[in-house]
Amino acid sequence: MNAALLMKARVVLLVSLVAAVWLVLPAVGISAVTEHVSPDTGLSSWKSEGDALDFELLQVLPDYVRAVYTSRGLPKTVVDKVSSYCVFGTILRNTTERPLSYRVADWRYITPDGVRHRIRTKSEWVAEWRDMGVAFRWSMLPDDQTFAVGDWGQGFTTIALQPGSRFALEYSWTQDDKTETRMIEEVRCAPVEPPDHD
Amino acid sequence: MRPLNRLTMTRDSLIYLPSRRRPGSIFFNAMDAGLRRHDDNGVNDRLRKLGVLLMVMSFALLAGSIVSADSDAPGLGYQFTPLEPRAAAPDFTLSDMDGESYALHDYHGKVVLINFWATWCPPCRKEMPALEALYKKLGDESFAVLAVNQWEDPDHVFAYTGELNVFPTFPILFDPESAISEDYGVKGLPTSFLIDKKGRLAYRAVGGRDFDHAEVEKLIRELLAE
Repeated sequence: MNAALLMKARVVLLVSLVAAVWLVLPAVGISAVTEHVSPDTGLSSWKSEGDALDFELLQVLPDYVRAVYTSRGLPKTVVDKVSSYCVFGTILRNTTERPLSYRVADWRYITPDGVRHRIRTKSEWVAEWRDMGVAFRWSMLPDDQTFAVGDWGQGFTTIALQPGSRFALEYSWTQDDKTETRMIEEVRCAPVEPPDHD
Repeated sequence: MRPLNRLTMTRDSLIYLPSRRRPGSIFFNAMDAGLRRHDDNGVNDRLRKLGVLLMVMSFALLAGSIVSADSDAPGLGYQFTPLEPRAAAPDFTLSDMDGESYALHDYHGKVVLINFWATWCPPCRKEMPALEALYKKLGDESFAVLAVNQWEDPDHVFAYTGELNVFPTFPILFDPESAISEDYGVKGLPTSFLIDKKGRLAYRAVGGRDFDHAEVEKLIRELLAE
């Protein structure tokens, strides 16, 4: 193949690939992840928008988790156990005009060594609390939900990692029998102490 | 705010890539390397310029979609989902802060908005003023609001209501073991239901709502007219 023909082939490939990025990706929905650092607390949050499901993760300090559960009157064993996890406030919203559903059991967090881990579900927490004689069943993100038009929800997501750990979160949802999966990289667990900030 | 990354793919094709080796980086690095090889062969740099132009246009388009998504960020929303067929709303009898009993069956012939909530739930706090505004607007027209608190005690809730900009005048009831929310299949807070005049579940809303929205009032007036 001569040089001119090779160059033409590369031009066609270049234009095709750029056109694919330009035209096709917007049609299937692009998830844009932004990190925001709160000027009030110095804590980070990550928000993915532009999909059928808006997804937001907010760092929560271990002390705040303790305060939440202590003020609900829950026993120290419950408070200590939950606050030993890396906890995030999680906000989900159906942005479309059709229902969609999610299942936390399908989500995974991926540690820097590449290992995929399942996330402890609300049902598992509630079952543990029930065994302790505690009937509390709120605060954790529900295991699964179907969001109709305009529906949204929130709750804690618990990751079995130490404060300050880094990981990637893979989450998914199903709409019209099609499952979509996204990943938020470089998520960080809240530190033990409030971070320094302006 | 700073953009981190974006990945869009289906479940079957999802592969974890460390951030240093994102698909976009691989693609553009390879393209750039290919163009540099042409330079080495003495081919003019118009191809490089074309590639850069197309990349800039692509990124501009993608950036535009991000800005658009930010500016369209929804608030509390106002939509309710119709429940078909309408099943009988689970009956209950609960007490308010003063120990007075309220039974749902006493509201037969009225449209009732039941709001499951708790003080620690931010959207519950956010929607409370709108709920009070709606109650003030329609409370005399065979319409009632019952706010069913989850797990908390009257002293705690009384202190909380004192912190609100608008003090709620509708009944706040206590479901200390969350038995009633269980009967209604509530998974997360807040969740609200509209009960029709025949005591049937007519609509549901999961998550906070702007109850003072004209569409919510219209929906309730339609139920009142049934």
